[in-house]
Amino acid sequence: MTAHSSTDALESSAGRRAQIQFGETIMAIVIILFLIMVGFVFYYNVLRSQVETEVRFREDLEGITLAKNVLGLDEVRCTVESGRGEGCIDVLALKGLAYALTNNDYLLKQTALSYYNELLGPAIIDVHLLSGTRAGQSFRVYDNPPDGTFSTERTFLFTTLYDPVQRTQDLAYIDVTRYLTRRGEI
Amino acid sequence: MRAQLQIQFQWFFAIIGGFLFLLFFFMLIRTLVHSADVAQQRNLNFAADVILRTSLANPNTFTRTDLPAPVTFTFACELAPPPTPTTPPTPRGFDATHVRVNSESYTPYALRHIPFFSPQRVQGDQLFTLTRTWKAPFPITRLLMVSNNHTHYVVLVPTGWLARVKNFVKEENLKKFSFETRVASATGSLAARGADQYRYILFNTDFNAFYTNLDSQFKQPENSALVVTSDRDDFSTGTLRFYDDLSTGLISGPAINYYGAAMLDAAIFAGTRELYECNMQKAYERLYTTLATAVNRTRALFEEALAGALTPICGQQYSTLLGTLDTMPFSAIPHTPQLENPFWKEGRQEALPAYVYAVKVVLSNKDRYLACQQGPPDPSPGCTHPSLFQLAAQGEGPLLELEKKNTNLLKNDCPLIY
Repeated sequence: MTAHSSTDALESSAGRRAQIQFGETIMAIVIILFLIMVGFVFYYNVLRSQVETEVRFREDLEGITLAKNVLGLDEVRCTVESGRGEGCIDVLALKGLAYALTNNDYLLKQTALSYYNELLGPAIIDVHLLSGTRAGQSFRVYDNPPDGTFSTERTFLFTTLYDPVQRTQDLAYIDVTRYLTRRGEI
Repeated sequence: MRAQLQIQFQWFFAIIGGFLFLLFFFMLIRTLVHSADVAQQRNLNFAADVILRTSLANPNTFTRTDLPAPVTFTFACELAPPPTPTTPPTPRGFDATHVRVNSESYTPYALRHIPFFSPQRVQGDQLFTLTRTWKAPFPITRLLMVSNNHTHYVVLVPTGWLARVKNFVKEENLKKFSFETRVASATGSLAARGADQYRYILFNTDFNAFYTNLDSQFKQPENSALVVTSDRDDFSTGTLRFYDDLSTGLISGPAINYYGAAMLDAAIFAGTRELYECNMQKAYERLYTTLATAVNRTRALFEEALAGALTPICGQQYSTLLGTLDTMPFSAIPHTPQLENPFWKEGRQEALPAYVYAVKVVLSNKDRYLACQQGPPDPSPGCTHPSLFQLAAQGEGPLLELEKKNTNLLKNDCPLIY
């Protein structure tokens, strides 16, 4: 073997080793990138399921918030002599509000009801009385379904209502049907 | 030579690369700073929105909120244009309320229906809010007062009246604002308190005498005055006169009748007459439904009494109460069906209980009805009768009648109507 060919052989061997090492490096990088991508995909899926859970929780909360908004109106609060303090809701006042809000007059809807439409949005809110002398009675407090077909979300909230005639706190539940006209529409 | 050129080119590229690198970081930092400013502004807007909306949750509650940074709030509310004889009153526009937080203006969607009363400008790192339920006489809506300790309120009363206003001014929540009570004759001795603005509330006191004696240092455009005239010990009804700019001492428009302590509180905190009137329009919008709810409830109680669930005495009292509601002056607004009754349908007139029609007439003639708010002499066209509030300020009228009759219900152990 000549000196020239041994040098060539050495160089060739070194070149192959370099190529192999280069290939190993590339493979290592590819594997690392692959693992990172897998990690991102996994993280994205976990995040998405967390977001979905939170969206569902917030949507449930929206229904309860609507019911609370109705029960928080000043016009349905108990009168002073009931002695029940803040948070007491008068069932006759609630019925009186129901009459006012479910009136179908166009002018009234445009002028008087814009406040309630903005507060409660597209929804239907019914009250069902469970105990006391009015047990079994139901009435619609708010009736504002949107035009068109939309998915709905239904929430129930149990509460007590004060009867000023009998002077008792009676059990009732609020049935809120909320129309999903924006995000959340299925 | 070639090597030298190569080295020079290398330096050249190094300089360009370094410059681009620096430029990139400079733009990144600038973007981050701008984003931080935008985020802070957004946080302040959000904080203002949340503070104002959540303050309404509990009535008769004072709240002190610390803000993330010193802020200048500028509040504005624009009155709807008055109706003319040929154009009917229209619903108030939705963008009547504006709030500017520092230099950025926004129209808070949620505040369009919330009546809040504040000076035009509130500066500082704290915000005070106080909520009152306005009753006329039924609970109508909550009014929100907004201020901070940079606005100083000076209450001036005639000699011998200090005890009379004591209950009003020393009320627990009002004390948390910066309030001072003086006899009007001591106007000349008022001292500066280092506040940004001063608001003078004069109870049954002559404004001209006050203005003459007021030190010139207080006669500034940002300072204002409110003159309250009332014959009632609790100041629950009366008239209001606004002087929005003490540098001129001129009255800002005709007097306004008020009914209910909450309306008086609102006038005290409202920096200008327009802010007061505009935000009270939001409260008036609730008149129909709250009045209809209360009337419907009264009718339901009457029917319960007829059915025997309540005593006959209660039934008689509810009957007279409904009679008072049916005969309220707004149902006497002159009208011809075709021109003034918006519920007239050709060939058919709606048959409605009188009190329901009455509240509808209130609603459709709201601006004309409320135009009678302005105390005598009243130049408003179409105002042919005094308003309910004006009658109450004069010590008469159905509102005071309702108050008396409601109190009588208690004596007979009947459920109150409000």
